[in-house]
Amino acid sequence: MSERKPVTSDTLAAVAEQIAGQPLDPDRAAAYADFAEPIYTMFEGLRALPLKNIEPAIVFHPIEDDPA
Amino acid sequence: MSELTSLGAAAIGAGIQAGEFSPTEVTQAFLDRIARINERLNAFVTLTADAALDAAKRREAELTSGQSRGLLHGVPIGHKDLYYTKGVRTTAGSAVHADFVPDFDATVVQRLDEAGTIMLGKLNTHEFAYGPTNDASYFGPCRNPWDPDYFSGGSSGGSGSAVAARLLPAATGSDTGGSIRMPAACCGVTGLKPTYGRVSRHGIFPLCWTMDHAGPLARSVEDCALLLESMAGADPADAACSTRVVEPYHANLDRDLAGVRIGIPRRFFFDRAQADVDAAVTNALAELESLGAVLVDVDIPYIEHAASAAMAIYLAEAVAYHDDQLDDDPSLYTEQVRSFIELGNQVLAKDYLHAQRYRTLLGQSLSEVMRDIDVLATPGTPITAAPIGVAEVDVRGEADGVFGALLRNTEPFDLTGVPALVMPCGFAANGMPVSLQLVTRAFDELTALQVGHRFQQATDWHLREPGL
Repeated sequence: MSERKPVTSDTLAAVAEQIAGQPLDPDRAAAYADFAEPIYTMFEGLRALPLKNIEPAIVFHPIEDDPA
Repeated sequence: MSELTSLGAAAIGAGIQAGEFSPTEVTQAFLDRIARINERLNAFVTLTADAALDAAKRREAELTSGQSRGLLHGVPIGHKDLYYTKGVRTTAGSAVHADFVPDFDATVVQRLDEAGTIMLGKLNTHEFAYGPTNDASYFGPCRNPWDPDYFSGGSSGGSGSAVAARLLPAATGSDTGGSIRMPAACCGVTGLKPTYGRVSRHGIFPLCWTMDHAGPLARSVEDCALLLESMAGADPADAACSTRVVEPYHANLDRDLAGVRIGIPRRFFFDRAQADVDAAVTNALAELESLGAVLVDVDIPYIEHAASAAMAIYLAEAVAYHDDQLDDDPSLYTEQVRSFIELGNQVLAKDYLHAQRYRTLLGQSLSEVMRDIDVLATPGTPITAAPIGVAEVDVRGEADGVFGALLRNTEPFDLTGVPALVMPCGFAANGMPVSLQLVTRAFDELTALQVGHRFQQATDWHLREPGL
């Protein structure tokens, strides 16, 4: 995986507005960028774990008809 | 202090059954104490005094006619304001639901009512249970009875504060990253996060569907066992709820600890604990050893990624739940919780799923460790409660963020879904309680309760009362 570049407030603002549809004002985007960068660094640690043959801890249960 | 308010749930229940006092006398004693003390703590956010006294009279009439509902018959209780209560305002600690009145009871509320408890009111919570301090709430911060300038811990802060202050013998809570155990640890009471699926979450506002647990906070392990018996069990309304038979926890609490193997994971769980916390927990472990337990050093591979995984899951699931409200009016949230929710929009699906895959990896890792031991023991929280509003605390000469430090030892067991019991085991130099956490295999709540009960039979930390 290529190296990730630090997130910017512009990126956060664009994602919020263009993808999530819930825009952030510039001050809020700047404040969130300070929080977000360490969080993304934490997530990089998860991406590096030996998870190849491991399924997520979420199991889908089909809805079964009530026999009654 | 009235003698009645000094009693725990089991003792009150036994006294009522023996005719030593009535449900009305008990209810009135707690209501009188709430009237004197709650203003200093902000633990109760809604009081249902008239309804409670009416319920107490009904419970008395039942006893007079020979109908007993068991040891919880006539015992006062409070519910975290995250639990739906029919006809009683339920806010989730947020302006978003300032006027919400549910038209049904959460399954747990209904079960505890059927067991004979008497609800005195609703208890403060960190807004939508999304925080470990209970300083961000529509009603203002919940305060710690050992020093009202200190936070109660959260998110079930009202439950921890009220039980510690003897405003209630027991309360309900919910735990997604430690929200039963952190306030129990900070306030010096006993709190149990059962196995994921052991207790129904139906009618409880969700924070993260895959990590939310419901459970009790009380004065003692014995009282938690009693409450769990009534709270647990299958519920078709909760897709994650287990159909396993509920064990008779309370009747089976007594156990000789000879040969019980207790694993001590010093790496991660102790290495960033404050010195006072480390010392008190080490003394507690020595006490357990003197009672016959065998202490074994263990290590849990991959544990150091727990906070990263928990963060991905909180952010992703919470923003999904709050999506429509963010569209409608985000200004109704507290600034702190709004920022957590909005940050969720920035989480990639792959990171969320890596976090869910990590839960499987960590579960396997923990299961391997548990093969050789009966119980895992750690500090409940590696830091004590701190003054309200403080962002960092000192841990062995280094600054540590309060939120991360509070969550550090509890959230691994929300990720793995196994039972975890927290109980007081001493005090730090700042006068705040220190706690011990006992963790067992999935659905083996009984072993944690037995070991914890034996510890409380031999010590008196759980009997200490704040001077209010």
